[in-house]
Order: sequence, then structure tokens, then C-alpha cells
Amino acid sequence: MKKGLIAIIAVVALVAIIAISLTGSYNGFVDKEEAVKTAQSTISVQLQRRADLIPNFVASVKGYSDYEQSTLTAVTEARSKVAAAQGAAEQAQASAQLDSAIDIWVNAVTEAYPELKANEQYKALQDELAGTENRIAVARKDYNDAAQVYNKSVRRFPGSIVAGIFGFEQVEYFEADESANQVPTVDFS
Amino acid sequence: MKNIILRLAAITLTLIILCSLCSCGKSAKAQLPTPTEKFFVNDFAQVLTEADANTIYTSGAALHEATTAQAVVVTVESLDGKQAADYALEIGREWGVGAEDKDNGVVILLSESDREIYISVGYGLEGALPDSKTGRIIDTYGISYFSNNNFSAGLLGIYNAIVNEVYIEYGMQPSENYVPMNVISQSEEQVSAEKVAISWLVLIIIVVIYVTAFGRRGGLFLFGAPRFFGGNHFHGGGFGGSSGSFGSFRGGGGSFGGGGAGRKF
Repeated sequence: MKKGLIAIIAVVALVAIIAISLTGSYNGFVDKEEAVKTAQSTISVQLQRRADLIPNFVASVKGYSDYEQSTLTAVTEARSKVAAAQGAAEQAQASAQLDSAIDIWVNAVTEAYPELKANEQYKALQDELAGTENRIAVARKDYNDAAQVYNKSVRRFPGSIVAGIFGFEQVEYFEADESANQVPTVDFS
Repeated sequence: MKNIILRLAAITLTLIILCSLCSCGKSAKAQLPTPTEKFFVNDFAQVLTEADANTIYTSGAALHEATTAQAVVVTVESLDGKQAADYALEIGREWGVGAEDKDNGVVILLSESDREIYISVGYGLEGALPDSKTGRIIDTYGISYFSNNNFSAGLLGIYNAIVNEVYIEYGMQPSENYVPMNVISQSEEQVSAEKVAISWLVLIIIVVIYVTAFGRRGGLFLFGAPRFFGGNHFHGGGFGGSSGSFGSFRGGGGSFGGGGAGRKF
């Protein structure tokens, strides 16, 4: 009788310990996954912000007769692709295309119309654009940091067992090529 | 008994070695300068005149006292191959410039050999100092001095402009002879409104995470507490024994998201 009681207590204690550690582990995964999602939404917000800046930018150079129409077409096309992109990978790819299209266009315009460098409104938008690019880069880095913390916890033993039970899967890292990640330098000297 | 002691000693030794290995890896990653005791003035490249450094320190301390906002000047000899924007951001985050609950910090970073300046603006001041205005401030008060290698005068002018813009943001009187920056841009209002919306969005997300992470009671308490206690970050005014009349300052834990503007000169 005594032995039976001890066995029951032992089993109950074991189950309780497992349940408590499972809960803690599960909540840990939830927190880390939420951090990843937050970082991801920050990226989207900043990408949207940049897309919204482009029409203003175009307006600021409207006064110049032919503001490099061919390179601008590439920008508008890339921009609509970003808007239509589905999922993180596609969005990343489309926005990388937009990055380079904007770079090419801005360089073309600035080269063709050096006097723009003295245009206050143009400068202001140039700063806004560069700042937004920088925010995107920072948001992507923050996302990768959060993703790394989360992925590590999903893969490491013994957490990996809990992650497997509850279906927490690794998230993808944001991998940008160097050119897409670089902030365009603005040189007004 | 002896055996056990030996084993314990061996385990402890292994742990110590492991720990030191871990911290080695960490310290190798972050190679940022540590803030000086004056916090608002960190003239590592020694380009500021003593008078200008004092003026910056005094107005920085006054701004901090009046608004809790923190604006720090950092001059370095070289960026060590880093992007100026990244360097300034890392300093802002690592030092915790600005109050934790307001994220109202500004980092003004100048690299002497790279001939580059970058102003990184914390989340909470992105409305007061949008990128375009920040760039304009550099153009108006800094560039002409910087091209003549007069870094001290340029930094002082920029610092003064930023301090005054922050005062205006907090509904206070700027210095008498300060002309508020007016950035000519139709998009400006729209963009700043958007920025305010973004910071609110981020704030709401953070609150939601806090509440879900810490449960209702803990979350609300943790979030509410800094509102009352987070404002003042004075450190031992009068008991540290330093010669500064304000005592020494340190960062309040503000965060940065990559906003700001920079120039090469």
C-alpha cells in the first residue's frame, strides 16, 4: 500500500514537472515567434512607406522636361510588383528589384540635371528616401536577429522536441545581396 | 570526500573556462566606444574646442532636464569600415540614448578621416526631426564649416539647431535667436503624419506583446512603471565628486529604428 502511494506521488510529480516545463517552453516559443512577426511587420511598414514616397519624388522633378522616362518606367513597374507580391520571399525579391530600379533612376536624373542638387524639395525627398532605405535595412537586420533567436530555440535540444510537438517551425532568414542592402549615399558637396 | 571536492573543483574550472570563452566571443562582436562621463559630449577624435564642448554639454544637460530627451555628440577618428548610419544607430541602441519610454534620443556622429557625418534619430523624435529636416540642418549649419575643417563650429551649430527643434516639439520656447527649420516639401506633413502613425503602430504591437508575454498584471505594471520613474537619469549629482556642475549622465534606454540623415563633406 505504502509503495503504491509513493509510486502514484512520484508519477504525479513527474507529470507536473513535465507539464510545467512544457508550458514554460511553449510560452518561450510563442514569445520568440511573436518577436519575429513584429520584426516582419516593421519591414512591411517601411517597404510601404518607401513605395509611397516614390510619387512625391517623381513630382519633385516634374518640372524637368524629360526626367529619364525609360528608367522611371522600370521604377513604376517594380513598384507595382512589390504591391502585388505574395509572401515574404516574393516581397523581398520584388523590393530588391525596386531598390536597384530606384537607384538607377535617381542616378540618371541627378546626372542629367545637376541643378537638381540645389533644389530644396528634391534634397528633402532624397533624404527621406535614404532614411527609409536605412530603416528597411535596420528592420531586416532586426528581423534576422529575432529569427536567429527563435530558430536556435526551435533547433536546440531538448526544446526541439517541444517545438516538434506543437508545430513550431524554423523561419527563413532574410538574405539580401549586398547591393540591395546598401544605403544609397547622398553626396551634395 | 576528497574525491568529491576534486570533482567539484574540476567542474567549476570547466565552467569558468566555458564562460570566459563565451564572453570572449561577445566582446569581439561589439567594438563600440564607451560613453564618456559627460555623456552628451564624446569627443574621441578631439576636434571640439573646450568652449564649444562645454556649451554643448551645458545645453544637452539643460535639454535633458527639461524634456528627458538626450542628444549626444560623438566624434571618432575613423568608422573602421562601418557605414556611418549603422555606427550611429549602434551607439544609440547600445548606449540607450533617450528615455526608455519615449525613445527620444539623437546621436550626432562625425568621423574625421571618413569626412562623414550622420545624425541618427530615435523613434520618439522622428516626428520632430524627419530625415529631410535633419539633412537640411546639416546643410544649413554644418557643411560649410566642415569643408573648411572647422568641425567644432559645425557641430555646435548642428547641436544648437537640434536642441531647439526638440524644444519646439515639446512645446517649449526655443532660444531667442533661433529660426525654426522649415523644410520646403509638400510631402512633409504627410510623411510626418505617417511616421507618427508608424510609431503608434509599433507602440501598440509592443504593448500587445508585453501584455501577452507577462500576463495582465505583470504586463501592465511593467509598461506603466517607466512613465513615472523613467524620466530622470541623474547619477549622483554632487556625490560623485566630479567637477561638472550637473553630475554625470548616462543613457536612459531609448531605442532607434534607423531614421536620420547623413552627409559626406
